[in-house]
Amino acid sequence: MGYSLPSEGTEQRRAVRAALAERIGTLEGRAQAMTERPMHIATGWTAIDAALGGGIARAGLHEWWGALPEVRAVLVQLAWNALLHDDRHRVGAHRHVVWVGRAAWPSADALVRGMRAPIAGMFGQRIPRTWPDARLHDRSLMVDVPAHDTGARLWAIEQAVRCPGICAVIADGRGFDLAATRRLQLAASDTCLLCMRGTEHRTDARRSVLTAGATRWLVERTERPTHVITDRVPWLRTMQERGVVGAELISRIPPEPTWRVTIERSKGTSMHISSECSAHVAQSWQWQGTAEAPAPEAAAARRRAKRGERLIADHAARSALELRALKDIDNAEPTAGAITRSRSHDRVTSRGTRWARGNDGRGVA
Amino acid sequence: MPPTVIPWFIAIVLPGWSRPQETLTRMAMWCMRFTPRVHLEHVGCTGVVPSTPSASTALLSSSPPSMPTSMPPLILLDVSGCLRVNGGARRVVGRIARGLTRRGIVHALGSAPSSGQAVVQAMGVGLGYGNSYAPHPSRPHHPSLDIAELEQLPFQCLRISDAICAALREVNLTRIGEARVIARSALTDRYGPELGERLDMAFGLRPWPFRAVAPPVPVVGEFVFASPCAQQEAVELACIQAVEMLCAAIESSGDVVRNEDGSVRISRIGCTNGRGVRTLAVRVERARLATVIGTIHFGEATRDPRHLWSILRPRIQRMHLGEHELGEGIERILLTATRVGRCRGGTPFLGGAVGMAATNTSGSSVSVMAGEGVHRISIHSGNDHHAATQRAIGELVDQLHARLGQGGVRRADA
Repeated sequence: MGYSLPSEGTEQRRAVRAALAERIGTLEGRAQAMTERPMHIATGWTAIDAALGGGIARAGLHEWWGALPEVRAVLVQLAWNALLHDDRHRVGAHRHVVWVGRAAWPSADALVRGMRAPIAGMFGQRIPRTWPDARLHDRSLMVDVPAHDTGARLWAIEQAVRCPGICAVIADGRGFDLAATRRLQLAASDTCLLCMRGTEHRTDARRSVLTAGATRWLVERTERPTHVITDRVPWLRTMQERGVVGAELISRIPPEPTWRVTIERSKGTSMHISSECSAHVAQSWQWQGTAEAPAPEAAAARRRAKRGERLIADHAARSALELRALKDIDNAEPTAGAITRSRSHDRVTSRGTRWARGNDGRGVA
Repeated sequence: MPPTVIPWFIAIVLPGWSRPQETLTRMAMWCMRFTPRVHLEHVGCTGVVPSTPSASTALLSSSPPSMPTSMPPLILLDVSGCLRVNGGARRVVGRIARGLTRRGIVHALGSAPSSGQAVVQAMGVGLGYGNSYAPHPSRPHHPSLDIAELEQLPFQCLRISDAICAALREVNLTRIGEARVIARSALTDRYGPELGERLDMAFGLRPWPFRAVAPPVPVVGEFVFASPCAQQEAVELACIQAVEMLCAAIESSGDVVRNEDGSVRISRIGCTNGRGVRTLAVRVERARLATVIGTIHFGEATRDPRHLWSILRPRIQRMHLGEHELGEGIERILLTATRVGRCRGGTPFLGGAVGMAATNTSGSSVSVMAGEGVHRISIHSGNDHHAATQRAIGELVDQLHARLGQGGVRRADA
């Protein structure tokens, strides 16, 4: 019967213990990182954020009732918020957003933020330069499921929700029963699932629908006063104040679409909201660009900066050479027959090259 | 009525070639994306053996015809029957020209219905005669020469030895057309049979010597049953084994990524150049039943047996295995990686102190305003976020494609 030296066994045990401790530490670190990650995505709607303790829950099923175009317009803004939240808290992960069902697909221009940002700073308002932001456009996956195939739709939503590379799923959830919502709620442990339930068949029918969703929301279209648009267009406000533009003309400007978002039910949060809490939503994301220039613009700016530095260095070197040459000329004795020229007679071209002029005023190469 | 296959050949001549033989072989492999029949001819390579001269030829007895050292290498593609799938000869020529230009390779192309004509055209273009890439209203971007232009080309375009060219020059014969009008027997008596053969090849009367390059060894995973098997569980186990064999074969085929000249590309520190399946060809042979053949395209290169099996499993389960009592069943399962790509790399996940250090130095720690105050977020497993996301999304897309079809998932339109 063989035996090992006590020291060898101790070293082995120590190594195993160290490896295990490292592994446990890694797991704990991951768990700690998950718990440290904020559990809410700020919606940007002050009343609702305050009521929900910071925003909509980062993980879980959220049901949205209302006409599909209205709900879709609001969910695009929430998808933006989820994406930006994920970019802040998972640096470099580039997680995607999935839109399941054709009813949930947004238009492509809704996926680009800040298209109106360049004109926000016109006419004297001090707003830093921003660029249109197409991150949501680049990181969106559109899933097309067969119409009226609820099972395939449910399966596709579950697959997307379970994928670790997805931060938010916006899905067409019409016709899902309690079992389906429970299945989705269990699956959405690390993904924000926004489910469109459609229009109710009769008034307050949504209250009697059994569901396992964490929250229930209602979206309605509202008409805001027309003059609100002057808040976003400073030159129009200035002209209105000066009386150049009358109220009649302003009234002909179509109003910006706005919606009233109401959270009707929230379970699983510390507040247990049962009363209504509503907020107005406007398409403000069209004015919010990103400060980061697109890659070609940034590359051009870098090239310009490099070229500028090179030109400055060349100019300095050339000036030093000319100064040295002038000193040499001053030190040298004047030669008979040499053409005396001063630097003021030289012509500086746009490229900074100094072309000597002859006595006749024409350039000498 | 049997289908008609239009014979068509594309010749690539590489003037000024100075790279090693391996690179030329890799180029021939690259050309196999257009046709499986590729012929390679190089000075150092014995791809083609010119015809043996007659012993009575006094001129050539001292210097047997051989490829002159200045002869550029030649790649000849037999694209007969492959034109339709590739969009036509003009499109293939354009793709080859673009690919070679992108790789910085000086080239001349010839495209003709006979192999010899294509070679002579390419040689002529390579020597600077009749560069048909200039825009021409009747032949835009098409490098073919007609018979009259072929006759004006020098004898070097026939890829014959320098000795024969010099001998022809002694009697003031410099163009192909000048030798064409001379009696063939007189040419054979004086210069040997090679010149006549090459003239016939140039005008399509005889094929150019063609020895197809062997294709690369396919990466396969295979399971062969001793007898036809119709039991679902056994077939699934066999398929799992074939998948694992395929993954092991990919892993053992080498993780190196090579540059165009064959040199090994150095990977970033801590990264692996893992290779995975992009396209998988599945062939299931059944006794007394039709063979099942299918192709699966993957969103991302993968060599994860679990993922491969999750995609393959529903297809195997839907397949009819046959009745055992009737002698039916699965005989052989063959998985072939027809397209292999590079797996998404990146810094691997680092744990413990090393991971902490890497995370802190890479600037992944961010200050975040959330809720009550400022939290310091330290992402321990944040070293390989992007690659992990890409892998996960590739797997999701594969899953959705497998059930919903290829049009089931799409990106937003630009």
